[in-house]
Amino acid sequence: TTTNTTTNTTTNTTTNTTTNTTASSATSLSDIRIWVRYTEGFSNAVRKNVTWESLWE
Amino acid sequence: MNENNNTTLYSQLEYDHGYKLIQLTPELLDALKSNNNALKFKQVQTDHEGTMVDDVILCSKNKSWNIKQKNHSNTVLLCKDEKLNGNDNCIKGYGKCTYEYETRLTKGHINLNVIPIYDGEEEEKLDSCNFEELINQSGCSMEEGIKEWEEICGCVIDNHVCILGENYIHSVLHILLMSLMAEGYDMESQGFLIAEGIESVQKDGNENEKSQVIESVIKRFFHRENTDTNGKEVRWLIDKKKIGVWYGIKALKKYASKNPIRDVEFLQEWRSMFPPFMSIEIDLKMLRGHYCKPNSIQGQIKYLSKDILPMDSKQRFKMLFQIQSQWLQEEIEPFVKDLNTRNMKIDTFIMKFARRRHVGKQYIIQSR
Amino acid sequence: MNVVDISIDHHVLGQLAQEKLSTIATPLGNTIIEIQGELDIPSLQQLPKDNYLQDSRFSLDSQDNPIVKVGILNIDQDSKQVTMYVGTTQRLLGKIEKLDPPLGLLHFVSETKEYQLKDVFTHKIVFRNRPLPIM
Repeated sequence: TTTNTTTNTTTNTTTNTTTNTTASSATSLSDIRIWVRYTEGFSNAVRKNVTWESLWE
Repeated sequence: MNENNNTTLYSQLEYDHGYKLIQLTPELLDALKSNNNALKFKQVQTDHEGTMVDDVILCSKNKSWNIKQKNHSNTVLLCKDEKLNGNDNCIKGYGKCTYEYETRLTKGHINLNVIPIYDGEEEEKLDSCNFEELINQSGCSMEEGIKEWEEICGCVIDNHVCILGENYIHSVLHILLMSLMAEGYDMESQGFLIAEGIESVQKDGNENEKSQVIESVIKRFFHRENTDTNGKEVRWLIDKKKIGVWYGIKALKKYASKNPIRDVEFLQEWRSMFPPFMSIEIDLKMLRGHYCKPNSIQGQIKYLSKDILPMDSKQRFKMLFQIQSQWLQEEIEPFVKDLNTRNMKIDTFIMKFARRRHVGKQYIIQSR
Repeated sequence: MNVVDISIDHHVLGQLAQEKLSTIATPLGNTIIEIQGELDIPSLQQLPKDNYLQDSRFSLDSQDNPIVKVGILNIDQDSKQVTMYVGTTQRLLGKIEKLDPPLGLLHFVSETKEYQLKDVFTHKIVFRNRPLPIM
């Protein structure tokens, strides 16, 4: 039971933060970074068959 | 985009996902350059080691390409010049690709699974599709399809596709050859029009023979004249090799399917099958891939159809060596070359499954 | 069974007929930029709806699509070297590469239910190296 309560509280907090983004927007905006996350090594080229459905994805 | 100074790069926050990159190999680029060469994606069923899988191929008017999706983990941003925030030197990312389509030229084939066989029986009603629909569901372009269709003696009757039965083809071919000779056509150098071929057959007491069937038989055993027709209707010349092989296989089935036959004797039977006064050069070499020389019987041959052999390479070689312990390389090659799907050098392919010995000027193939 | 046609944009057709091999940007103004790694930009949902446009990095294009300023590209046509400054902190060194084979740009047009070839790329800008700091 104890564990459950804890989880619930966490969920509630998260929801609150989401709804309150507008209020704290000034800080959020300044937190946003535009940058490149470099990937080490070669690009992992994988080949696969093309299905008809994948043409519309 | 300004190529010597600074360009500002923007990106849309939401990308348009309708964009894909496709490799344009030289043949594909050529197909695009000729405007009338419409390209299309086609959904096809292809055989992947025995199981049918859904696949997509790319076709122009006369070529086909296999497509593979090559995924990568890089950011490939599609950008376009745009005047943004009053600045001319701007480009904007509007799409992001996580893969590109790899294209490889391939030989297209008609999907033969769906085509019924027609033997000329009047009461049979064909309920197959028309030719265009057949090509739409086949992994080939229109021109590749037409070429293969002629080779397999395909026929369209009342807008339904069918393949002609073997005995039916044989009887129509036989009548056609005799009728053309009776009419005095010079089949080797002058040739004849399709309409003339049809007329010759139908006036000779075979008025019920369907024109489309006669036309298919003509296209299967004759070839178009090489000279420029200058807009005139194309004339058809005899293909003696194709006709010779056809009669040869017929003779093998008739005289050499139950028991082996001496090859000298077989050649006589083969020759006797042609219409009277028809001169066609024959040689056993023409029938390679259709006969074997069973063990311990010298100078005799027996009919062997590739269709009854296993599709697995190891099993096929095993069966071929049970039938005949030693083969001339030229005689075993046509029985196995369809299994060489990776396009290895044929010698190398054979040596993967058999032993190859040099005897005089020839190569003998036998089991390991 | 399914078949979908690929039509060719008439601008591209003209371009193909001229056999004009352009450099970085195609005559139609398209460019490919490839980065080894992820370009991190916020999604619209991550942004505060009503005031993100107050941040000078964000704006709207002529069709009112929200856009973000990624950085500055500096291209040296002679050496084929390209430098990209991302945000205020990163510097990427890259180059102009020839594509072999060239790449076609396909776009699915939902109104006509067909694909259209929108452009042909013969070059791209590639950044393969680890980003450097801006000093």
